[in-house]
Amino acid sequence: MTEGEVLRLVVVRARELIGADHVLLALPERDELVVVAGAGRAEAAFDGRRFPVDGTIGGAAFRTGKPRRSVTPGPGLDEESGASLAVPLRLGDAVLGVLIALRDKGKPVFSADRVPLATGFAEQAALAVHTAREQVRRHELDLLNERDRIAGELHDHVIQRLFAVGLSLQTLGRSIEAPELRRRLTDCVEDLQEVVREIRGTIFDLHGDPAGATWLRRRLQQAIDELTDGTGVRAIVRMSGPLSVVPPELAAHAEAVVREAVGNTVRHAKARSVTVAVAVENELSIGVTDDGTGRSPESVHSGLAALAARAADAGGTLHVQASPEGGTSLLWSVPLP
Amino acid sequence: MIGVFLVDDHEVVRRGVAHLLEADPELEVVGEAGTAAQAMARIPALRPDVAVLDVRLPDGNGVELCRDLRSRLPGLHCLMLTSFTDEQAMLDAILAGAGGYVIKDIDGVRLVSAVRDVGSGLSLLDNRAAAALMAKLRADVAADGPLAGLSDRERELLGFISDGLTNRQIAARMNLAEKTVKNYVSRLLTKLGMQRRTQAAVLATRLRGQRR
Repeated sequence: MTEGEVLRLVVVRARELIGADHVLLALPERDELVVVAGAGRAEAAFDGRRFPVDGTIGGAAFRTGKPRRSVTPGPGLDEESGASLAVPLRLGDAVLGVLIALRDKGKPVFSADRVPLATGFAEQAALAVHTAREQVRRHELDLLNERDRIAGELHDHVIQRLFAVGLSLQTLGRSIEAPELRRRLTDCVEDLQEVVREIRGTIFDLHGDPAGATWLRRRLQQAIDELTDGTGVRAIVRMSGPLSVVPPELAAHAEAVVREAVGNTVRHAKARSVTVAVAVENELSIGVTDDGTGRSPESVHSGLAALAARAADAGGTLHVQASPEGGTSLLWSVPLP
Repeated sequence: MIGVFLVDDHEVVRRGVAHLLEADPELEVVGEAGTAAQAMARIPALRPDVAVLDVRLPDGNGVELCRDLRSRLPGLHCLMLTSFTDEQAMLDAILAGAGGYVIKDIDGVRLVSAVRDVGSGLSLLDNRAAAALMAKLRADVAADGPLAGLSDRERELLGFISDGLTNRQIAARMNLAEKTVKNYVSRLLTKLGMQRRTQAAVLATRLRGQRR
């Protein structure tokens, strides 16, 4: 039986035995109470209804932990109801919520002998809410443990083997004379690199990202993905060093630099691939190299001037030159504070 | 000639790294081990210039192994090998008193140059990024959030560690037995590790709370 079913059963039975037109269960949310289950003619209309703790009969019972009776339930509920009885959902010293019995306007108030009845139902409801919460908590812990286990497996076995194979391939590549074969092997190693990085990203996701640790890493990766997706230009991304120590103003520069440089390559360079290397050591340096035509229209120059200004602003430099593959190579770097 | 000793519990990794390093005429792999205990037993006799250590070992962790080794062999340079993120890897390397770290992402060129640099006595952690990362950790600890439960002693210890001192040197500074320092360091590592795990757990729970 789910929590919802149990609570539903409680309010239905409570309505019959207490002799009410409506019975509602409400749980606290910030400084309001929210109806989570209801029984009676207009039960659907009450579902999800919010009412304040201050100045309502439900709120008074919730706050004091004692039953309350009244001729009106107070703001949020008194439009359609008159006589009301509210009892707290107690669990030990804690009050989890409140059970409210309502009668339509013009009907007699609840007599004192209804209170123990309502209290019995409130106890059952409190137990149901508590059990459900415990289940959620246990489930979350199980999930976290399971994620940790999967991350550990990926780290301890999958990555290690890919890394080892990649190193061996690289070593092999050096002893190969045929340039075509060598190039293909290099491509294989690049592809393996990508796989390993993706898995490392997954491990990180599984462990939960300690606040903002890779915020910049993700921003840059997203920017590059956005700009190159579906363009036929292959992006090779290398990031090294603790990107989390880059202060916010430099991080904003970094994203602008990556967007401008990669955007230029995609729009104008007729390139097959672009390599973005971001490194954090004594400086934050961003290198963007493509294998395109190396020719750029006038519009690019104003963009580059803006990047040079961003570098100068942070006490750094911008160099643009022809890349070995005949394309453009841009190096933007600024000192860390 | 730089003599290198490899410590990693995966034989495939040791083989891959050995192949790569042996291809460099300047480097020679003088021995290897799959556990911390084997490494402690073999390294002092073989006297390598550089020990390349995996952070996770079946019978301990590379950080503590590195601190033990450097207390016994002050001239030994260590390089941490890990597949964690840069932040975690750098922090581990600083706490280990290592000369640097390399992430296992198949950049063989970087691995070779890191071994050569560390072998010739350079510290790859002597830069602003590492200093900033330590400063951030200290600030996190000093902020005394619910996750920062370090004692004054442990904070002092963290300072000595980030200055690159070995357990033996710290023992002399703090007037403690080396064994006590070792225990302190273990506890500190556990706390910092726990702290990061707790942060992750708290965050994951909060994210799920928002989705509900």
